[in-house]
Amino acid sequence: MKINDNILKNWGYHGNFPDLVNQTVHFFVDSEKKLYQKDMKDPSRKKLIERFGWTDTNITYTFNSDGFRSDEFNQQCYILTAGCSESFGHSLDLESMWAKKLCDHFNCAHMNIAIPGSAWKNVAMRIGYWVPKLKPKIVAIFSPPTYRLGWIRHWHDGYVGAGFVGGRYSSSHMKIKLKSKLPGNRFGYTSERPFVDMLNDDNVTYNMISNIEFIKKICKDNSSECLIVNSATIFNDFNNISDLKLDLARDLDHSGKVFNNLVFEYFKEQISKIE
Amino acid sequence: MTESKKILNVWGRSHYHKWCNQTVNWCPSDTLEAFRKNATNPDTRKLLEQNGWLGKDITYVFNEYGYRCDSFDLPCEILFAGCSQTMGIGLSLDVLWASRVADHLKIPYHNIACGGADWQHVSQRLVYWLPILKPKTVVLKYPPEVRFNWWDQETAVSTCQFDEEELMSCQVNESRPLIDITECSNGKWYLYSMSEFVRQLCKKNNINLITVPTGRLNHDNENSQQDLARDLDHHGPLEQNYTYKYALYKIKNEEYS
Repeated sequence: MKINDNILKNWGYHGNFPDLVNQTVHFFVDSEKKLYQKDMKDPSRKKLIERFGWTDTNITYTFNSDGFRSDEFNQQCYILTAGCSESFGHSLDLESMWAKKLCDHFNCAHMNIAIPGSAWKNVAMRIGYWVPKLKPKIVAIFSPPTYRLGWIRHWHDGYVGAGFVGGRYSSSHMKIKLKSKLPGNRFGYTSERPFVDMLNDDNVTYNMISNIEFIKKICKDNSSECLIVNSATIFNDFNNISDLKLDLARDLDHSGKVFNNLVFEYFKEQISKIE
Repeated sequence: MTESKKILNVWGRSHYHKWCNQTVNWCPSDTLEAFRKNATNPDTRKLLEQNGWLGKDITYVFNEYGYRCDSFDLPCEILFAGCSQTMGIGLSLDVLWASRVADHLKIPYHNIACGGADWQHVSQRLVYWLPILKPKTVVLKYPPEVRFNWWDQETAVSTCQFDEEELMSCQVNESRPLIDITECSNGKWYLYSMSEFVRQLCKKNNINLITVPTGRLNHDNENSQQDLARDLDHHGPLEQNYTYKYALYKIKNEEYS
């Protein structure tokens, strides 16, 4: 199927960081910096941040000329990593990221198209654009959250971003309404709550399955081996789960060094089997 | 029943489930109210007359699963899929392209198309029904790109049920997600990823796939704006005839996707 080049490019680049092209920063968005500054004023959170050894300068984000936290794409690609913030390395130093560790282990360039906030659809869109271009031998994906719906958002200034809603039945989703065309929906409201429904099992399961099948097809068409893992598999393979509760990134929300190491070990083992 | 089976059952559900094993004379957007209104307006009455809808009864006969076709107990040779243009809103079966193809080939008529379907609902129904019906061939007429559907429990909801103002008023902070989701990069994504997904499904089940593009195929027809179904919204008899010949040609020549 022939797709217009501009649309294809939107799939490949949406949500990247055009303002940070070829730059290195300690915080990639203002909200990350503000949260850190706020946390450092809260004694209990400050204690945790210091315990993990995070400072305002010991995490650097270096973006390539395409606006991804990755090495340049103009070189041979052995492993292409993809996913959401957990693969982007949100609030995590480069050396601790599972993606970087994996590429270092196999002595290849760190080629990473992960973007924070991605849902399965966003991941699949980027795969659809970049895999045929980069032709990696391996595509390694850490699953984004299942209960997240993503799309491409066109901003007024021309920026092509990634929009998403996530979580289940949160109060903010209940506020997003459409007039109901259905008499007496299950909540008894006269309005539809589309994002409450779109994040129910029937819808998110289909999003996940159809996107995974699409990703597999793209990888197969380009002779790339597709490896996917989710957090449940990592947790199942890990006996000492209590350690993970004490493993956090600088924002005290994303996974820390221990979890990233487990994801790295998982993919390392899978790739070694292929080799 | 396991959770995954429940989800699959929802995906396979007809929008017309309430009419299982029933025959009705009207089916939205082909309603008696709209027909009466159109019949009293001279301009629209002329269109009804031109297309042969004045004095012609249309019956919608639904099978045991709420689909407008033969019983699924009969062996399935060809399974038709798509949206209202394939289900036949505002059309009698003797006019509808899919029904005519089955008649011509003298095979049972199996059709899981539903009005208002988008790419997701079309492929969800195929996920459910292909392993059960095991057709030799699927004939899929593409649904419109600019449409996004979801499930409110077991009820299908679609952006096509809302007008632009309603979709604009559905906001997440400053963004209008349902406007974004149905447009441009997102709409094309559903077409691209879901059509690949359907191809994969058919391949996995050893089923031939024949595709029919969305919209009108008969671009040479100067009277296409006048060629309408009884609801004066869907394509009419001329386009149905063209699509019938188009699909039949592809079937006979085994032009699989």
